Amino acid sequence: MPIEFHTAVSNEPEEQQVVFTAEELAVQQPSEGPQGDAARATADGLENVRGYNRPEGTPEQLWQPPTAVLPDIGEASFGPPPVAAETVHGPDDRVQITDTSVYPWRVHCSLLITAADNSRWIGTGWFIGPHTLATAGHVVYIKNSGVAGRDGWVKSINVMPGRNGNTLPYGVVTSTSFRTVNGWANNGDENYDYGAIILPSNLGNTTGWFGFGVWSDADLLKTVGNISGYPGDKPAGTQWYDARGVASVGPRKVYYDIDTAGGQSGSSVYHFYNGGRYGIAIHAYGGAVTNSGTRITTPVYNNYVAWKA
Amino acid sequence: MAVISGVVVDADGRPVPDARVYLAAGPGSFPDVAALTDDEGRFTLSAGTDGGYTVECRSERGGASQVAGTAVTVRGGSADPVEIRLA
Repeated sequence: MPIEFHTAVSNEPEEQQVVFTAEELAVQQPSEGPQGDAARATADGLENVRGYNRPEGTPEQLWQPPTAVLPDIGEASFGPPPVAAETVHGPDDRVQITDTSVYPWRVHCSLLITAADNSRWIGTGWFIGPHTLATAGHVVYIKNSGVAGRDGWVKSINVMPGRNGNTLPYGVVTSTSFRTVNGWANNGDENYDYGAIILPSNLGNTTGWFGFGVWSDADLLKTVGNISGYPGDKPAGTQWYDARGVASVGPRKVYYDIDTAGGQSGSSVYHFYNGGRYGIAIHAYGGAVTNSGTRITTPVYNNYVAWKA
Repeated sequence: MAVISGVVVDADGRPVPDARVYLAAGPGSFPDVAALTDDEGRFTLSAGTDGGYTVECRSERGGASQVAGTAVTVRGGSADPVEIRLA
């Protein structure tokens, strides 16, 4: 494996970076934070959310052709579009989370990103430690945009933990400190599309955070993937949850039929382990039939351990 | 990398700032981010490969939530600018 692709890069001078030398661990533990009681999971690895029912059947059985009908002025110019993939596959199973100040929902953060060209974007991140959020690489470093002045480190990200529309239970923290890896920043390889946001405060001590770890193909293929994040196709700044079984895994990617939409890049794909919530991938892409995220492999794990120090 | 650019306007043709614009469908995988339109309702999204894409947007401007979308075809790495009109 080209380990150099996982070489960490930062938008900060090297002397300001923390160098991690501790021994390697297989799993990083979650923290539920000090405030209130955490929501409990169901016995089958799902969050216990009112109104959410896990679809029955395998991902193949559950997939249905897209049925959404949209105003289509493009067809007037180009004719009917070819068959295309959608990030919401078949029935939209997502449910809105309204008690976002409760763990685990407060771990998920709505992101307002200002790129190098001052264009603005929305995304999602999740606490992995007191001052560190995991997210997609393309959230912190834009690559191959095709737009002059846009590529490179973003200028700033406003982080809003547990946002619920206009309600910001933990306020807004602005970060200008970001991390990603060589394989994304220099090669634009989606297999290495992961990064981190470093906060100037330890807000994670209040919100809590998710653990993360490295699991085998066999373990991942029998697990339920949970995603909660901030999709752009729902009312502004609202958090939405969905879950499905992992459909397939690759050496550096995890594929699933969990419904997402633009704005959920950087969300945690997580599962339950010994009663805690642990990230297994970082959601990054919509795609044909399944959506996908960057798998937490040992090099990814090691970088996140370093970045949360 | 192809760029899908366009403008979001309201029913009267006025530009809509701060609308969330995102790819909802495409021929391959695409980053699951959403752009916010600028003060003139403009946006630019990146499309990795040639093919048919669906661009959607959502806005709560004026208190009413509105969703609209359009199909875009990228050929030879380019696409004509689009206008998305919120009803």
